[in-house]
Amino acid sequence: MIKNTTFAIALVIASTSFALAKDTLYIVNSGSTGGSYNAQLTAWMTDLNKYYDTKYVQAKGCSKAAAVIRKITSNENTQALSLYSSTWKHSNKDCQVLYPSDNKYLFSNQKAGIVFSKKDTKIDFLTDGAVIGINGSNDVYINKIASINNINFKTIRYENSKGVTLGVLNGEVDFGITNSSSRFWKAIDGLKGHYVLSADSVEGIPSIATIGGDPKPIYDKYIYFGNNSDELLSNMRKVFANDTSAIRKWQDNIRASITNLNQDDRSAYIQDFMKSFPIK
Amino acid sequence: MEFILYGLVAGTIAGLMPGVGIFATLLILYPWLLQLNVVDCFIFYLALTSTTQYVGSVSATILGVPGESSSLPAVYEGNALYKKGLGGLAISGAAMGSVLGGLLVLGLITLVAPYLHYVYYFFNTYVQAIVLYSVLLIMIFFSNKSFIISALLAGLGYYLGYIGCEYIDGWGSCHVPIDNPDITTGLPLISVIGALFVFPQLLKFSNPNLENKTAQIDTSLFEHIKFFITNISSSLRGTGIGFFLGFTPGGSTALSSNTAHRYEVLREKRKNRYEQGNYRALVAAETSNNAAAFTTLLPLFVLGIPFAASEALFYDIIISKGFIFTSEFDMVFFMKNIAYNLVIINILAFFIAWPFAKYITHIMMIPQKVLNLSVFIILIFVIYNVGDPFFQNEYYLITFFALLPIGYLLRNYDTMPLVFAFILQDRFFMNAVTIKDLITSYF
Repeated sequence: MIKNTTFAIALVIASTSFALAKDTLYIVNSGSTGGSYNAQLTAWMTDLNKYYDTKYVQAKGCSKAAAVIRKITSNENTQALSLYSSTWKHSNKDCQVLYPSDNKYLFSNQKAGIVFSKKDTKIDFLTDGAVIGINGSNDVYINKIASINNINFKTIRYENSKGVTLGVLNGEVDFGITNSSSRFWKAIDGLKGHYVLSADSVEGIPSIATIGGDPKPIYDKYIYFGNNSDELLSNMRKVFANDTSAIRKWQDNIRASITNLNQDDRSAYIQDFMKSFPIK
Repeated sequence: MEFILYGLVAGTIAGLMPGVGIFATLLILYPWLLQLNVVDCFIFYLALTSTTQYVGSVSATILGVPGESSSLPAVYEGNALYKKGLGGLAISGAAMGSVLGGLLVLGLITLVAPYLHYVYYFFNTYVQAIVLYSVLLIMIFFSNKSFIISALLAGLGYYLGYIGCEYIDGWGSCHVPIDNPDITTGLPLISVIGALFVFPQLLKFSNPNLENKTAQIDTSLFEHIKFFITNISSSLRGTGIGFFLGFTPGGSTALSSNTAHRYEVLREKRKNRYEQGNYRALVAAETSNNAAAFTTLLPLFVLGIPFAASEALFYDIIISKGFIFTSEFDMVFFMKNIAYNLVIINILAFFIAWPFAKYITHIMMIPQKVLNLSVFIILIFVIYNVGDPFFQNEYYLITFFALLPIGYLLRNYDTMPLVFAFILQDRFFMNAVTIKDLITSYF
């Protein structure tokens, strides 16, 4: 009798533990620790903890992120979530590991970068010799605009958009250009937007196209490695539907950003992306 | 609350055991700390560091063994008091001074906390460079007898931090000496620090003398408090010294406690009442020690710049969780997670360091060789485990073992400059890139 009871209890405990065991989801931050990728991925980590045993990995840049993801996916049954930016170098062999394709792509956020300065600036953006804070490959982008307008900019490189924003705020540079405008909107009391990098104006800020720049739609693509993307997407949608979730709060604070998390036609989006940003 | 208790236990062990210290404790607990959320991690760290300061003076007083370098004045004065049979007064004075210093500094920090965010406006690239390089230079000048050795160690740390690939948004580069995908992720922090900082420390320490048992004079609780209040001015002077010297990078608590001690000794000598085993000098040093332990956290919290090896490791753990020191540390965070818990931690640590002092010294009965060997074995397991989430267990261990011979060669040196340069390599690099651009823009 005692033996049977013990066995039954053990069986119940074992089956309950098994039922409660959550799958592991690796969340790989392919951006810098001070950037918007980190902010949104940590928000997802907080929210998805309900469904998964989440493990957060800092792997800044294509090479590190690719190496980590190769390791993770070398083990069957593991799954990883990460982000890929349309501004990255698609021809780089490590970036290609992350490059969104039909089987990796989950959804994307489209955002508009911005050119901004301190609120009380007296300099026009198209001034010869203006000092511009940049990060990533925005020096190439900004110098094209300078060339079209027959002027020269002096570019100052910062580690990330946070560095650029601080550089503008403390007067180190005249203007800043960032691919993500979240920090700009956060510090809007002290800053002034000059041009958005999208084709259309946003909240009264004109498009960069008005001064000859190529509109630069920026897509943050959520990518997935594993065998159950539908389940992850469904869980992400549930989380996003909750107004109090960390990711929802993050998204609500970002202006000029559109997410297609809730749209079903993933294939069409990714085909468009692959056409616009081909691997060369 | 449970993380305060864990921190108190870990801090007690770290404070009592020469060679263990805050850094090795953090390293041993690294896999566990990675599992905690940011706030619990903060609470644990604060409890660990504060308790270490309190408890370090107990082993220093009773056994003449400095658990931390900041406890040297406690060895000099406290152990002498113990040998005179006044160990109880020495321990209570150090504990009460620590509480007073800690809480006064906490009050001062609370007053300035609402204005901390203005710091970012002044913290431009040049100021960042001044802070970063000042910290590095102070470490290079004061950590070893030879400036050149320290500079070479910092250079080695920078080089080791440089290894790996950093390629983002179409900008960056790879520096991999051997073509191996694991190396593109950089050298693992825990392997490098385990081999080049903890291992040399484990080779340094020997067993304390546990045979020193002097009969102690019984003193009532009232007498303990009265004696402290009579000498409270020395504690207040210690608080002032600790508050300001706490901003000194690389061993601020050791500098503060030793400076407060020397200053008090000079005052006592001028009044012709100094002899070794001076209560005021002990209280000033211990108060200053704890006051500095608080202020030294400010640059880390506000500017994201660690001033000590243990802070650098803590910084790494916290940022790996996605926390951004310079953005997310504000008044609300400070009051809710730091100030409130620090008060509780100080009160609890006070009771560990005084009424329970006689019990906690039993830990010292463990032979040092056994302890060091245990720490080394645990370290190997920890390193293997930390590599697990990245499927890099072997890589983490191979890096550790490959660097051990260098760690052995460095056993007689303070490798703090190496650790600092290694952990902050990317900050140094990006700061240099921005400064180069800024200077070029003037022409």
